[in-house]
Amino acid sequence: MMKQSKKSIRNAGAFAAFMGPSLIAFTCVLLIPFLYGVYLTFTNYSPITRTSDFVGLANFAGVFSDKPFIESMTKTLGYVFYSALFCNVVAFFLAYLLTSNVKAQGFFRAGFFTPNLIGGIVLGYIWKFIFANVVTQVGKSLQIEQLSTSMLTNPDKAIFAMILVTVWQYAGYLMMIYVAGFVGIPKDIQEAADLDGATGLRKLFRVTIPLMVPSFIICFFITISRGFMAYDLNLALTNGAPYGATRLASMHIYQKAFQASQYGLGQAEAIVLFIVVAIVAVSQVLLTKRFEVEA
Amino acid sequence: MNVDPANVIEYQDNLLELTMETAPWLAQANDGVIDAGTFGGKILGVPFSVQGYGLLYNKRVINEVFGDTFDPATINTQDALKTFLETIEAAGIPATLLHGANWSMGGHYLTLSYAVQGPATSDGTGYIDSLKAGTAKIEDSAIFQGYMDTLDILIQHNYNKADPLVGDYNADVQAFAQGKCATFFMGDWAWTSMTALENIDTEYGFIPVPWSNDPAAYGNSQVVMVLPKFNAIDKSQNTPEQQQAAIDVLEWMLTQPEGQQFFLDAGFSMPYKNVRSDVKYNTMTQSIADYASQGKTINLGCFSYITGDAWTQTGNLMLQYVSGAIDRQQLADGINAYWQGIQ
Repeated sequence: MMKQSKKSIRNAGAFAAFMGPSLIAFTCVLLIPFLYGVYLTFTNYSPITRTSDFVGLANFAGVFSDKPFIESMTKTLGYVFYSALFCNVVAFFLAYLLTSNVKAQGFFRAGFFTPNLIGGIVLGYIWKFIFANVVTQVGKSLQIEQLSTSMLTNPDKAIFAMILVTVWQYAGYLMMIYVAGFVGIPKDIQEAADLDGATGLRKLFRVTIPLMVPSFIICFFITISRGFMAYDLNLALTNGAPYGATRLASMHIYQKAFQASQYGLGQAEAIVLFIVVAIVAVSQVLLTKRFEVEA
Repeated sequence: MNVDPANVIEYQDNLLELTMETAPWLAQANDGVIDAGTFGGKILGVPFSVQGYGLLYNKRVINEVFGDTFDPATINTQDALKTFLETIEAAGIPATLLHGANWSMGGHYLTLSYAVQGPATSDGTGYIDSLKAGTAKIEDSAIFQGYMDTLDILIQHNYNKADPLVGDYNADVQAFAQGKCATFFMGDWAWTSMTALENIDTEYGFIPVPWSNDPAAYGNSQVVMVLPKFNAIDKSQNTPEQQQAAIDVLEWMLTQPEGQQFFLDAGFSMPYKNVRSDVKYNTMTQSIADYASQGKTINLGCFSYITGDAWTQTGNLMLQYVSGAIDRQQLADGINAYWQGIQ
């Protein structure tokens, strides 16, 4: 009995030593502010008056009657769907190419990864310049009507521009995860498939993709959760322009809380966004986990 | 701290009141300036600059079209403006430039419709209150319709006509500074963005933005003068000694020559009586000062009371109108709905 408790104390000590710092940081930076935020939504606290009275669910009632919030959520859903889809398709395709032993493979991998190192704000400003000036110059000289005006001033094209920049930013990062997935497929299984006469495409769909399901789970989770919370790119590239047509959920919440000074409503909307993201991301992971196969 | 007027109103319970006893140097301010920082009868904010906006014009380009005989006082009716712009266009130069940002169209242009309702601040704020209550609809205001008619004229001659919403401030300022267009709906702060550019024109002036054909109507021969920022002292989180120290700092900054030099070097026109008289302002600020000395200014006091996301929301509506996405009735409906939705 003594041996057991000594072992469990040692285990607990090891746990504390390794997990402790991260757990403390997580609690202080994420958990406590989150719980405090949830508490604030049940009050009418505002940094201006600095008084707080309990108001129950009044803030949450306001969330569903805030039409612009529902609109921004719908736009965000569309943005997340398309950016997740295209990011992963492009990343998978790049990873497939760059694991088939082409020349200068390492150089290309590094090159495709580099956009991810540029932060969202700088990226947004650079692409804003490109869309407003470079693309329009190309459009004018090649006489392409669609490109002669900036894509960012048209409500439908602007969201497409955002998806384009998101794919450009994340494809390289996801590509690295897929490359690791490809490289992790045991060689003997691939040889066995070749011996059995599997063609390239068949091998891809029957052997490679099922063994890469963990990579898909991770990559889709990343793109979906980051897509829902997109703010820095939204701010730098469009700032909601043209006239609020590309205002996604996070930006709407920010403007509601800090511009319109409706802090309670803004915080309640942020909680609703969190719940939506949590449901979508967790169900995505659980659903796709069923497709995992053992090698 | 240096804040927007709207912030002074929002935080007024937390701000220190300045009185003639605690801050006798307030007497150095020009008339009406201290009133602008007075809310609820208390002096809560003191300004350090006077700025203005209207239709900026490039003197070199105008002289090329009209010869040296151009007199800005002749632009005091809508028809006069129309002829003026058309003459410039006929000479082959884009006549005007609208900056496609919601603060320029919503915060500055649309606010003219409220401010010109009457010369007192309460005329503007009273009108906004009636919009909020739903007792007034903006499309019923002849002033609003007049300003939108003028905007239609400006939109027609906009240098950015092909793509009006790009809203690249540096590109627009640069285009104006290089003389690519003759006029620009902007304020005298545009000069601070031009100082970094080379090979630009340096002589500018302002003309009013007329809304009707009655030269005597308020707003047709005046440019806007606004006190855009206030210095305020917080009283909620510091000691009385610290507050007194803050008052002393403000006195030094605003009424002592050394302190004033900082603002004068930045090109701000300071509304205090004891400012060095040998200061040469840039031509834009000088033009505003000339209008002010003739008493030909539009009081934009109601601007201070437009809080929250008014610029963003009504500005977005204005941008939709400028780009042709909505028509004037839809614009009016949107503005009415915004004000009625404000708590």
